[in-house]
Amino acid sequence: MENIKLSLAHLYPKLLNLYGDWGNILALKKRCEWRNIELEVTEVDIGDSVKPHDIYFIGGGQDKQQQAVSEDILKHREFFIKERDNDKVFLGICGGYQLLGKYYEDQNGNTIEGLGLIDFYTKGEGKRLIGNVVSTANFEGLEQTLAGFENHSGVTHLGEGVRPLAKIKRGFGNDGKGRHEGVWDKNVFGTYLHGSFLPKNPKFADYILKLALRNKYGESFELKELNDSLELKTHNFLVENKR
Amino acid sequence: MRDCLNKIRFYIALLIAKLLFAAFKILNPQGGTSFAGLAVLKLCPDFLSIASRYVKGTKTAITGTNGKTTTAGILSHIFEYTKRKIIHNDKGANMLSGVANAFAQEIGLTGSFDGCVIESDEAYLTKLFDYIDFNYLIVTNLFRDQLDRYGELDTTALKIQNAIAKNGTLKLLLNADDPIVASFGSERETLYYGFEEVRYANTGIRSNAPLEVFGCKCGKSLKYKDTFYAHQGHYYCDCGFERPECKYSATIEIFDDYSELKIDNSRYTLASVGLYNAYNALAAIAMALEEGISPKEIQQALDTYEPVFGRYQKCKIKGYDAVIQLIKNPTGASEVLKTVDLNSHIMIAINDNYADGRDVSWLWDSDFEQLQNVKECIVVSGIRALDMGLRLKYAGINEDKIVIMEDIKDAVDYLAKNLKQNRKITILPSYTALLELMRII
Repeated sequence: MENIKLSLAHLYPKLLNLYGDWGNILALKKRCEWRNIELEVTEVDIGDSVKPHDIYFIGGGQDKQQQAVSEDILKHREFFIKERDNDKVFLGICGGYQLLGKYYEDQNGNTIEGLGLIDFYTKGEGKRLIGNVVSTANFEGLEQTLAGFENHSGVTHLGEGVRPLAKIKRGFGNDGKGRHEGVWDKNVFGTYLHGSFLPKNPKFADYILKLALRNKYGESFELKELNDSLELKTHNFLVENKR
Repeated sequence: MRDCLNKIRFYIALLIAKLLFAAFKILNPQGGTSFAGLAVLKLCPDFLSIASRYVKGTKTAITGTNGKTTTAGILSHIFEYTKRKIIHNDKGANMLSGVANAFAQEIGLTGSFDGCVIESDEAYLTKLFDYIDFNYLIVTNLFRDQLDRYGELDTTALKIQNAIAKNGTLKLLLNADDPIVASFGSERETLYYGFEEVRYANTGIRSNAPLEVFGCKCGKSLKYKDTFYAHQGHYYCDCGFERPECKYSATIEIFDDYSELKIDNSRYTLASVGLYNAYNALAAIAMALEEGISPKEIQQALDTYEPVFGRYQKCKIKGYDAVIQLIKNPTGASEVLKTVDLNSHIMIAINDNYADGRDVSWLWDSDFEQLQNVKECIVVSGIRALDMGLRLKYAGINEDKIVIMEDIKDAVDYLAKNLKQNRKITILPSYTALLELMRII
């Protein structure tokens, strides 16, 4: 059997690395390793060129860092739009999520331009939306819970007909009104959830791995099951305990 | 007239505080709460500004993400050792009520003090500065702490800058090796301390924690000639910004269970471990030297210093040797993990109460990979025991070696019951888990 391999680009890890984002990369890495799949992680920083990868991950940062990243990432906009249309997997968390949209306007009216991979924008509001989140998303034909911790002052407005990632059961979500959370179009995902997000949402972690693997190795590719009892207990703790 | 009224309120508040302290002493001898502090501030909002007039000598404030309690502890110990009468919020209660509590406890109707050493939460510093005109402010470092409480690091930095701007005669004593902290000194009289050279006698310990890189004010990423830990080191930027020159410039050699620090031609032996503790000692020593205390007296004071509870505190648990080290944010935890004895029985207790930070994401930014070669099982405990257990699994520790026991008392009992001969205990608690632990042992 040939060596199964995936490559992941971690976008701007030196500037966008708030709130356990590294745990997401670690989760993907380990879950591949445990199945003898090689996940090669390449860090892309300001000024670097970007080559095609199977998965692109972009984390959260402070406003100042996000501004610096925006200026650089826009130089690669055409490339990322092409990659989106090639069904490549993108996962943006918090600030990284906002950068996948059209723009982020802070409280002072400064605008940070985003990649515009999906039609949505974010506006900075005075109130920080902080707390644990439980939501439900539909993937792999099932309604599944997603759990994590949100901490953002940006309020995200999805464009007409744009699908959110999940429905909020507990928490604030995109617009602070406790309705929807995140965004999902093609294989591009954005969410406000930290925690870290992927370690305690193993089914979602596997889902995006599967999307990347099927994109590369064909639709019939299946992932080996893992013993996720600790992951699921940690997940269920947030779902069941109203912390 | 107003001043007179204020004075009356002050004395009433002080009297009530004294009564409260007496009542607590009878009801709950171990209790260290800021309740009396809250009460005096309610009764006399100006309490701190009147109370601070009792201090005739140097008033020192200490802030920063990590090391406030230890730096303040060492400094006040040096002052007390050299027979200075001081006020110090030694319980680590560093919000306004905690400071008021410390003043209410110490001052009487007459008498004065030679100084005060006050540690302050970064976010409450501006308020504190409304009431007390400090002579010195020490800033230890700025890392990501409970960001869910403060927002972002830039916001915290701005809060400290706003506080500094309120006091025109304040002298700053800043950690030169921290680029965010050092930048506070640009516009006024500032003294810096820092390390010229850091050596590890046992070179095996090196963290692979991701290096944090901050942007210079000009927008470019800072460059480093030498990095000590996290973003502490000898940085510079092409625009000309660089680590400032230090008045108190030190070298340090770190051994497994002590450190040798040298400033100019004076040597100091520290009983503490790790570079992060050496930074705390350096800040305190620099301030003591600034006050004219001799190196000899400082060393004598250091020799008799007992660490604050939970800060590399050695104790006995059910007859076994134990070390307790508070962990509360990625940088601090990664540094503490460098010093953990992998032959010991380890317990990690993580809560997610307000004082711990509600978000446990920081566990994923902390370098628990350093525990990979642990010999015994690791007991994970506290409200978020599962999250901690999961972190260890992804750090490469076999699941068979992870024992999950939410209740902290049960976890301590389990640890003591299963202890192998000649093995020690290491406990790494988050802040409120430490408080729970304090009640149990």
